[in-house]
Amino acid sequence: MNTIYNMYKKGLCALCLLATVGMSVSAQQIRTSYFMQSSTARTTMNPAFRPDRGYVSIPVLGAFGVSYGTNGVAVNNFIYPKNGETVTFMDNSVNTESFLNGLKDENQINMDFGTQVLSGGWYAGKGFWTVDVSIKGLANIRAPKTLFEFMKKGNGSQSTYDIRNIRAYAEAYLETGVGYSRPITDKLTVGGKVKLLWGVGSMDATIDQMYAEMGETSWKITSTGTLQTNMKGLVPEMEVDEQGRDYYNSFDFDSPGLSGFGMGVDLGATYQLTENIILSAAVLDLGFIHWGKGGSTVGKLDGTFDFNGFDLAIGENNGDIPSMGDQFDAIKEDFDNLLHFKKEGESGNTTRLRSTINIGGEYRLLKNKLGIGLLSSTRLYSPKAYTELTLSGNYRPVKWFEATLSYSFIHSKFKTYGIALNFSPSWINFFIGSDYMLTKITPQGLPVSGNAMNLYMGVSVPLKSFAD
Amino acid sequence: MKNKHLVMLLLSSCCLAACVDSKYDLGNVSTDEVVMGESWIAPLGTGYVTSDDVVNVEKVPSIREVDGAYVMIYDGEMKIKGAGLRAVSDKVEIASEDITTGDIDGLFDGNFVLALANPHVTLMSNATKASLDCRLAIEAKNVNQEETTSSDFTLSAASPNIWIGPLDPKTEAFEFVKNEKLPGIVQIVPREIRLSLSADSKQWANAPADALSELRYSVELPLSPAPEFSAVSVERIEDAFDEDFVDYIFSDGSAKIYGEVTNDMPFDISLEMVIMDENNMPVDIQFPAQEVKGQSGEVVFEITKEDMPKMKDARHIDLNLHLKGRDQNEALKKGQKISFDLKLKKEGGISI
Repeated sequence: MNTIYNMYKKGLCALCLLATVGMSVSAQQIRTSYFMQSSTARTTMNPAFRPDRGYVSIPVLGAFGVSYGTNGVAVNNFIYPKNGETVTFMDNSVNTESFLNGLKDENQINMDFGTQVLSGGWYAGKGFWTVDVSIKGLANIRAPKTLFEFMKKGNGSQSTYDIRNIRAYAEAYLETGVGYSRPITDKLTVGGKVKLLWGVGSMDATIDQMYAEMGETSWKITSTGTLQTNMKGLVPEMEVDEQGRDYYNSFDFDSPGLSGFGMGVDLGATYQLTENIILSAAVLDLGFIHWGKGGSTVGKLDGTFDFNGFDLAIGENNGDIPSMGDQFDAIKEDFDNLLHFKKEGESGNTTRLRSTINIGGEYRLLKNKLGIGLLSSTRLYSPKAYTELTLSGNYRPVKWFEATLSYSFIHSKFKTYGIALNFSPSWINFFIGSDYMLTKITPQGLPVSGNAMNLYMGVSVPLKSFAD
Repeated sequence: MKNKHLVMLLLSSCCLAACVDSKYDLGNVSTDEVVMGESWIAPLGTGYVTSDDVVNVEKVPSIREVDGAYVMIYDGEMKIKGAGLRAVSDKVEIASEDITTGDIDGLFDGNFVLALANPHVTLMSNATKASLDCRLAIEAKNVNQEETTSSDFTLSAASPNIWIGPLDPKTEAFEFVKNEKLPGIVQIVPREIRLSLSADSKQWANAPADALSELRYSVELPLSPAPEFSAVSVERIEDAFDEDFVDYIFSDGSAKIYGEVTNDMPFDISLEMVIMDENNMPVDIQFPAQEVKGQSGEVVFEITKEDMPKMKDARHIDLNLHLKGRDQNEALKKGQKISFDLKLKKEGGISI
């Protein structure tokens, strides 16, 4: 039972931590800015895009943001106000059926971040070059509805649970990239970026299956899963279970370092279909990271819990029967074993980048003072891809200012909209925006009822380097 | 100017679009009333009470095992008095024995009614050379009560061994002499039993000197309860409620302890559960007594939501087994058990 408690607390902390991480770092892209001509940030969404002028970003603040998205669940599915307090779905005041009705069969939370430590772009002839050094990362957690049914219902009305595919994944890496774009014809511009990736760390913990048969005469629970971490400086603390097997109890951080190496490319193109219509497409983050064996941790979950009741020491028949307290402690230890990843050794592994596919089209009118754009953006998370379709209205009233309003059809659900502003007087380029303006957020910045949010901002200094 | 106004409008919409809802403060989440699952069913435990626990065998030295059954036996030899005794009536006492039976008092904890189905007295003699019409008077006494009964029989070569009791042993080894008052003698839980054997004065005077020289007696009280039998055996589950266990299970909601009781022993049972605190005082939760008649029965003890707060002091369980006799004549045997297979149903979740 301590394990349940600890799982619960750790899970809650992990959610909050991931949320906090998500808030403190930056997102991969902001779709609302895709059609903003003066934005330097949009080169990250399509390497064929070229800003009006070259630029050098302000270190760390060049392009900075966060994104958070779920497949339908929101903070208010898990957190509830109660008599002036904030309680979780596990509070006894939360109705089981209404809580479960708000969940999907598979519930996934994704978070991305990416900040350009250094970046710059300049024109050289017809070509436009970019270089950048960025830190990127992502985290996602996934839990099936059956897990929450088990946690909320117990076994009073259902004695068998088959809980599959609980997963927590996170990775962070350093990216150095060189990009180049060039018009091929009057109408077609292509671009690409080659990236070298330096793995900082990755963690992948999966409980493939937790099968519970919990009748009134016996409880039998089995668990299977795997754990793989790759991070220099991450030192596992081992414990020994009752069968004498080493298992990972916790982790300490020592001196960090790089744990993997990889490569990636971004490819993009724009095509001016008519004087007013521009089509564009890009594939981002095609690549991989190979994580080395050094600094890796491999664990296997293969637990069994059997409980047929306590031995009741009635009357004088208690000579050889342990006390109830000792029996209860032993059961708690057995239950803990269900979640002990046993040591399997070390091994390297290769992970692919979560690629993004952007396809867009813009119609410009009123001498390019107004544009209407439609963007389809698909991000290939594991195991599922998440697609967003964004309609935007782009307003360019003066040369130094551009604003865009957008609506994302799949995640906004008529609760939110996107807005982006770009200021580009001659001495600075400042950008801020979000695809999901939040009407109601937690003090930590997460949307209360929305299932997506992001925030993106960047500051750079324009160069006297203009497009031909 | 128009452009400036538009920019200001857009900036304002950015700033005002979001509002912080402090009701969803993730940094201040209360976990005070967190529970896991709303309803749980689990095996609680199994245990048993043996016949050695129910009957205080170690306190009653006279208990012996006969064909696996418990029998209190007081036996010995009665010394035959000489034939020259002067008769004052038509019967003359030829032998007597005072038997101390005080250990019977320790048979069960507390008060009990020792209604046995087949207490009996046997006499084994070497009467082969005479035929004597005899009477065995049996007097039982305890501190407050005294009961007597007697049986008439003939000791002879044909019937040297006598069985006095309410039930026919159906054996050729003894001559059966029915005495239905003998169970009543035993029921007072005597501290002493006096056996007095008398013979016809004339027959005894004319009998040869060695007509009756050996006479062994045995007062045998098989623990075969009669319907009127009642006793209480209190069996404790020491430290049944671990502090953590109480915190998890019995801090909120309601609970039901239920299950099956199987009974090898020749008693029907009325089972009371009393939850005690660490000072051996009841925590004041009243459970209706559960009847287990025959070989098995279901028991249910419900701890209501109102009683649940009292469980915070729970430490031990006393099982008060009210034992009652049955109509059938069955003997209590060594190794017989009353077994408990208990389950727990918890409504309101497990506190974590």
